[in-house]
Amino acid sequence: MKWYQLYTKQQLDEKARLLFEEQRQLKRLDGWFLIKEIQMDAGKNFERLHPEIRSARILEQVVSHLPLHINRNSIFAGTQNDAFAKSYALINPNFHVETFEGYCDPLAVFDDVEPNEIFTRERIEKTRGSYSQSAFVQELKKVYAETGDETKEVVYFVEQVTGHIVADFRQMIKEGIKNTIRQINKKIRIQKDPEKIDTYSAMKIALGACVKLAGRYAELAHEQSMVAAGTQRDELQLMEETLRKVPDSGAETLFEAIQSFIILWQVMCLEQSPNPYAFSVGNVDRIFEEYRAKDGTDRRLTASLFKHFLSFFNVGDRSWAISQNLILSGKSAEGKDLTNLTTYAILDAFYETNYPQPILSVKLHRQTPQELYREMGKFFFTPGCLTPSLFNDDSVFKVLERAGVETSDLKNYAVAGCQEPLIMGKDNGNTTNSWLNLGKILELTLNNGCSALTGKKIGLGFSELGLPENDPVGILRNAEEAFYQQLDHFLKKMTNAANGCSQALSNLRTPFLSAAMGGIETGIDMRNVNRQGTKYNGSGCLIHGLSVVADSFIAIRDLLNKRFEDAEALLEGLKDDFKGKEDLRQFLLSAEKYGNNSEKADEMAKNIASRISQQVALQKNYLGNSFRPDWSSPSTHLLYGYWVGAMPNGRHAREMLNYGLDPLYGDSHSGLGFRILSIQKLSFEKMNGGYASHFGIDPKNFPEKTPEEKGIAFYEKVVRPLFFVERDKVNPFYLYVNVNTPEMLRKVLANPKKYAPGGVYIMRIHGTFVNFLDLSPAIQNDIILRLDLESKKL
Amino acid sequence: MDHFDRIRIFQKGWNFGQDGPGNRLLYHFQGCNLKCPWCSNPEGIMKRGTLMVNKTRLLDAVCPYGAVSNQALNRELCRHCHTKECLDKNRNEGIRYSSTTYSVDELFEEICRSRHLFYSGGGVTFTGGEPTLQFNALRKLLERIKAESINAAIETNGTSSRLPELFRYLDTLIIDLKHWSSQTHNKVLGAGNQIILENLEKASDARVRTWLRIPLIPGFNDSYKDIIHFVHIVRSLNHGGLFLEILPYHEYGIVKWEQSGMDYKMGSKKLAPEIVSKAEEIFKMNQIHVITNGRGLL
Repeated sequence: MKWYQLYTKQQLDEKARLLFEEQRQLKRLDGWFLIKEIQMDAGKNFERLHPEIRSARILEQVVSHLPLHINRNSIFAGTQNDAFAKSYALINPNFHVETFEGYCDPLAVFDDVEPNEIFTRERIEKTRGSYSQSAFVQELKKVYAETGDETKEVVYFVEQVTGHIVADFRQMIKEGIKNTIRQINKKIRIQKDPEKIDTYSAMKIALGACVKLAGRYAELAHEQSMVAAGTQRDELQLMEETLRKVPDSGAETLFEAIQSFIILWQVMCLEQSPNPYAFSVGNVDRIFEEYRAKDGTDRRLTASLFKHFLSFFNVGDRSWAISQNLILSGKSAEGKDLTNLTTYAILDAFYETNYPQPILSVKLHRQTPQELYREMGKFFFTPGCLTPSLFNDDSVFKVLERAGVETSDLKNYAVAGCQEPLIMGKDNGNTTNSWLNLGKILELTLNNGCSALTGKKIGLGFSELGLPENDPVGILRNAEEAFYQQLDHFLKKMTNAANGCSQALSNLRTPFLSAAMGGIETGIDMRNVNRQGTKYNGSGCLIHGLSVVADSFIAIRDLLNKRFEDAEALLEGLKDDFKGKEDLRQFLLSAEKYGNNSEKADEMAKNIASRISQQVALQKNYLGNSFRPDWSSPSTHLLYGYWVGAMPNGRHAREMLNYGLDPLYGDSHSGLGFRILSIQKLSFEKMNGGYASHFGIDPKNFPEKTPEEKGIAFYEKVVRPLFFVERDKVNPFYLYVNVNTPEMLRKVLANPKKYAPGGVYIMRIHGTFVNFLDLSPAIQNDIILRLDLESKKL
Repeated sequence: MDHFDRIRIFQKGWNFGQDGPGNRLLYHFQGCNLKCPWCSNPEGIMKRGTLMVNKTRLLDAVCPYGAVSNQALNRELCRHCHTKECLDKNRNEGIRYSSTTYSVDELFEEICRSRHLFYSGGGVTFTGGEPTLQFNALRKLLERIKAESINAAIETNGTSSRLPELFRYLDTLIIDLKHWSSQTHNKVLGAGNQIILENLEKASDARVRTWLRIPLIPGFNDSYKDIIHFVHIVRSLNHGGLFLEILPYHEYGIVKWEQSGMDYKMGSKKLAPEIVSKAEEIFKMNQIHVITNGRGLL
């Protein structure tokens, strides 16, 4: 029986609803710990193997021994629950800004397991102890030990990048694992390089793990069907039949294609457990449209099936920081619009479910059909509903081409997690490898290399920077160039440390994912740090604090111009947070600020962004490829701000930095029009790592009657003026919005039962959706502040 | 560059559909010849500008001559001050001068660069204060905008006899008629309404698309008799392209009166909502096209 003969739309909808409700009730997620135990045990047996074969064998053990379960409301078998810990993440409800210490402890996740009779403290500590001895943990610890106060006070931050990839499963879904293995065998037959032959062998084992997992689920479905009756029996039989076919063989129906995808995805996550954040799907509408078309199902039924696809991405009640991105629509390199019926069906599924995961993004271009804007209206203008983040294909294509992406690959860019553009199946961008704090670098530059918060000597001092030690005017006069010198000093250190993290991670090879990332062509694992396994490779650098530094330079210039005799007072004020110097602080605060269409301040921001993007791009990663400048700050503008002393723009010590490329909260007070004019002056062509920008939109500015009309108005008032300005220029290419008001959010917090009766009120925070009610007070407050009434007047 | 090439502005910003059609860039010109006690932009009244004070931020240290004490500004001392340290060397968040001077070139460049934001039939609106008080510079700017085919509007109190010279450049004329009686107009606001009515007639003859605005002020022009008089005037204009907009009295400007060091003399007057709806009804009954916040335009 075909899926569309077995299920009605109502049945699919109801099952999806119940499935999500049950997910939210999950109180423990222990699967990752079991995996870690299996890995530790199996690892001992495979110690002498080639690293990729070792990883593949361990994966094989994991899928063989991991307890499996099929929920009674699931129509597809598979889960991500075993890949994630219950709460370990940066932005969890218990997170406090003050506790961030710039250290990514791979063992901290073990604190996430609450000991009980089964998972005793002894058992937890045993595995933690064993893991702590692994080469990966040892090497990573060494990196952090060397960075010391530099990461502790977050001058920069580095981490090993798990997840954050857009795998290409299209061929595996279409032709089956069987055929993929056949292809690998052909490669092995002509391969002479023994290392590559080992890598290929590892891929085969890892791919075999998928078939094994599907087989185990098929068995389970079979067992359950034997004791089930009526429709449920038919449903389990369909599930079993499907799993006996895919992913081993190619999928023919939409149902099979989704089931195949889910198994592949599950194995990808298991391979990188725990917490492989930000694995992303790519253009999901294009992946599945051919199967839908073959089935001939309409938009409504297709949408209902996709609700189950979306359910799969939800893990327990944790809605934060998983950041799995699905992207829709877009164009081809020739300019043809690629929106299809599945695009709209998936939009319907997103809207009707309003789950906190996965994340929705939409690619736009000049020829995007108006219908798509009409359909998006309901997302933007329904309070508490998820909203898509928006990408401008016309500009992204130019940015990527400039960065060396081939024309034929352009249409397949997607975003990993938040907003970093990567080519599906071909690009290992190590997107969150390094993080740079421009505010801290300025603080150290103006304070003789010492932290204004702790007094520790961290950076280059005045003499090392060539600044006249006892001449405050001279120091300020040369502050801008000294800042860049200091930046260069830390960029080198950051690069070394980031590469050290990648080196440490290379101990944990990923043969399965590599097979979906071009590894079959290259014969190289994507985590190999000596040979390039993916067509494109780079490392990310998330740059924080543009407007704080730009405004600071403007304020310093003003001070030197109008009251140079206060140069010393300024330097002192930066040390003591302007204690007793409120008049000086006000002078600095009232200088021109970026974000108000001010020529001076905007030009300063443009020059800083351009110069630093170039400096970052000059850094080379472990394979000699460039770091990618990414001007985004996924809530880290709060964390990093906490470690930055007072700034010459008048900002107090420990206050937040600006978000992404946006002006500092409260500094853009002339309305959205001028904000748009300011941001459009920046050099986006250099930001191939991506960037972040947020508009808080007041719903009052959209008096149109229907959501569809509001969607069109949103295009006219926001999208077109921002994205599609000059044809030959690289215009802004990313935006996320929250159409809401601070008052409304305060009401939601005060009375959640009334305003979010289901316990879920979705907001966007950076690239991800969050349940607003799940967040820590600091992050809730940040969201409220950044709705910023003064900067959003239309 | 002579003074005709320079324009004093006390505020610029954006709005949608409120001061002309579509999304608009607004320039508020400094200086007004009327003295409306309900004005919501009192900082725009003085010809050269005024010192505006934010008491909560005001520090004694900003004035070396002691004009600031206990969060209060002694404006008498300021009147004789030529150095104005508080706006320059001691610039701060507690005190600012309302106006900034721009060249016509600067504003023209900004308007052109904003062109892509003029969606839904939008453009630029010059308002005030009273824009026609800086007539020559305004005309120069309008000429250049017209040459670029950018939608242009002015919002004026209509008292300039030279206003018709600008009609050829305007896509929308927004003009106030605050009272039907020239005598009362003159008594309360400092000028009669004769020129306003003449300008309205000329706009009608020239077929300029016109928004006639009547601020409905309690105790000044909100009686039944007043409304009937307004109806007579509007009907006599026989202007096909005329829309009428009622602006109900509000107190949004009250804080700015205090910040500008001026007394707000409207007291605690309130306008009953039913008066507004009644007035609208009467206008509509007399085939007058009424709009609200730009909505209702054909």
